[in-house]
Amino acid sequence: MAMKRNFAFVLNDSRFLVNIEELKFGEYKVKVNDEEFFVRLEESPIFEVPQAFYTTTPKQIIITRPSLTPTPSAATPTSAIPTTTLGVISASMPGTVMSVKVKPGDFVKQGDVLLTLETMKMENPIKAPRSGVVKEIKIQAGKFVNPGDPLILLE
Amino acid sequence: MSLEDKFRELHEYRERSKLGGGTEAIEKQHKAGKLTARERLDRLLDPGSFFEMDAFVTHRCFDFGMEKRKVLGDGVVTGFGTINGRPVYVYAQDFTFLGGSLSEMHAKKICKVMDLALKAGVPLIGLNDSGGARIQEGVDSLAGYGEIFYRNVMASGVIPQIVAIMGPCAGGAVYSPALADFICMVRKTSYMFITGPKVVKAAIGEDVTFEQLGGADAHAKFSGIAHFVADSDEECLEIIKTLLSYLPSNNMEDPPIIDTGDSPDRMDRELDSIVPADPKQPYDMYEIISRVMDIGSFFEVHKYYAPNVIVGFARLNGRTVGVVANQPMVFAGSLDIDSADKIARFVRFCDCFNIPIITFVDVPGYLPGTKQEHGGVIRHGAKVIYAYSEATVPKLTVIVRKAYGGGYIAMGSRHLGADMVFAWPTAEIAVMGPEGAVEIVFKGELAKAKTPDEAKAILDQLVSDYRAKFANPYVAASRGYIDAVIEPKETRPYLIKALEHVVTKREIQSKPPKKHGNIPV
Repeated sequence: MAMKRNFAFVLNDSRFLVNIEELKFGEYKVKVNDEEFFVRLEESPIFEVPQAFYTTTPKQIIITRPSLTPTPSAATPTSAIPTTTLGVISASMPGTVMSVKVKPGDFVKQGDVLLTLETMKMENPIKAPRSGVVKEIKIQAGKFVNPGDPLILLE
Repeated sequence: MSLEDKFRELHEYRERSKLGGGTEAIEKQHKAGKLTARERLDRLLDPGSFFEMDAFVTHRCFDFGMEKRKVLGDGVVTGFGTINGRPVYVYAQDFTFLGGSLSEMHAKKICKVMDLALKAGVPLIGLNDSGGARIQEGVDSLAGYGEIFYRNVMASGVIPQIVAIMGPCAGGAVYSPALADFICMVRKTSYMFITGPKVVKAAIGEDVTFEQLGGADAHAKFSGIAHFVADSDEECLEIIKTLLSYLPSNNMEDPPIIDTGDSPDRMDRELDSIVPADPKQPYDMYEIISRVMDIGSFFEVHKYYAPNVIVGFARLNGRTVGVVANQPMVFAGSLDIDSADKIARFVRFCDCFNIPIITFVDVPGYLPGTKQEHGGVIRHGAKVIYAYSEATVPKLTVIVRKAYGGGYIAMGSRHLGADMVFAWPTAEIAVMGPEGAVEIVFKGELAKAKTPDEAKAILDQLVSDYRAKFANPYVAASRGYIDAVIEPKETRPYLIKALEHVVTKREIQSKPPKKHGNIPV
């Protein structure tokens, strides 16, 4: 079952021969020219950017990368994520709308704060789940919303 | 019969037993996106480690023409093997024969491996894929369920019991998984419910699909029945393997220690800037957990259920720990009915299996409202206090920010027996939040204000005084309720050192003899 792959490339005028052998899922023996490394890929629900850790004895590289299965953590925490159906961003928690940061016609990028919702004295930013144009705003500051109530329509 | 014939006979028996419900049924199973019982065991266990038991068992029912429908094994594959070199007992229901229905003999096979697992102190893993009771057998089939449930209860807290739901699991059958420690469900192919959509429609007129009523996501998110969800049989089996890597084989053993390659002295400077200065601003608790624990070691349990708290296993300098934390991004990290159940069950599991508990606290209190009060947040919330108080494993607590009122006490406080409690400089340990406290304590003074503006000015001043005086870790530190105020980046080395110094702990507090306590279930 072990998968082996060979690569050759030139970097800064040096030629590298790389041989990668999969030991088991997520673990590899990597040979660069004549030097051997042990590489382990670990799933992390946290880091958005893969992070690498290197130990010299034994030569081991541990790479943490985002979980393969979508997790509701880190970049898109469960909490403040509005539930989206066909561009409707609705409240995931009950709370009072504190301020609306966008107006109809605005172009928003994924992750932009659309509004803040106060729940249990916490000011939760509600972020755009994807980029798009604000089509309609269903609420105004001061309004109390229940889970599932539509907040903003994105196009 | 010659000796050769005798051996040939055995080989024929063996070949036949491998077929289950036959090639056609196997094809159907594959078409449904499911692996067969044997294929699942092949993927779960170390190659070549599986030893089958009771392969030649058949049922003994003579009603409804059942005498003509017999296969070797009677719809379940049982035995033992190893996972990453560690022994486990397994049973895998075979949907290809009579829908994996549970007969008297099918149940006896399962009971046999359960008994052995309990005697040997080895985890039991069940792969469920069964249409339910074998109706043709009547009460014999029901008796079978009862015998299994009884063994689930006897084994509870002695060996880890893990169940994968990889097909239907309806009616009484649901209670064996429910009595186990962890359930992993496979999306789209599995469902669990007491009564199916047809009966729901007939009884109360509600229209609901299998998936909506008892699919993996429904149980992961709403009921909390599923601790894990997988997109395929393969992923489900990988989850079980990962889970087992954190657990000891039984309650007399310590969890395995693994070299994670992460330095115990590592200090992550990012930790110092995660908690915002303004206590009204949320932050992501996952950031803290992942940066304190061994890199990549956090393995979340109940990820989609009650996300206002986080629970899961992790490693600290290679040792398994159970992590419990509030998530300020959801309901400000408050406790409620579901999160209380989630914490209590997890803490009790850790206590059963010698897994130290690390608690990260940022709790403003309990969620208010009729839904919570009428749903019994009092008795559910009490479980958290019960579980922490009862737990004798090492208990270390880090107060990250808010620790108000009952929430402070419940979340692994010193008063419930935490061995060591640390607080960050951002900690606010108080009876309640400053605004609420001031409105009660200074009710008279606030009433004296002549204009709303004046009232607000007085309130703001009092709140800021209160915050300066009480909303900090130093009052609690002056009483010795917390052992050290630490910089966030020092958390990892502090916890590792603390753990090394309490891991040998023996609960010396003498308890009066009793059968068992009476946890408010």
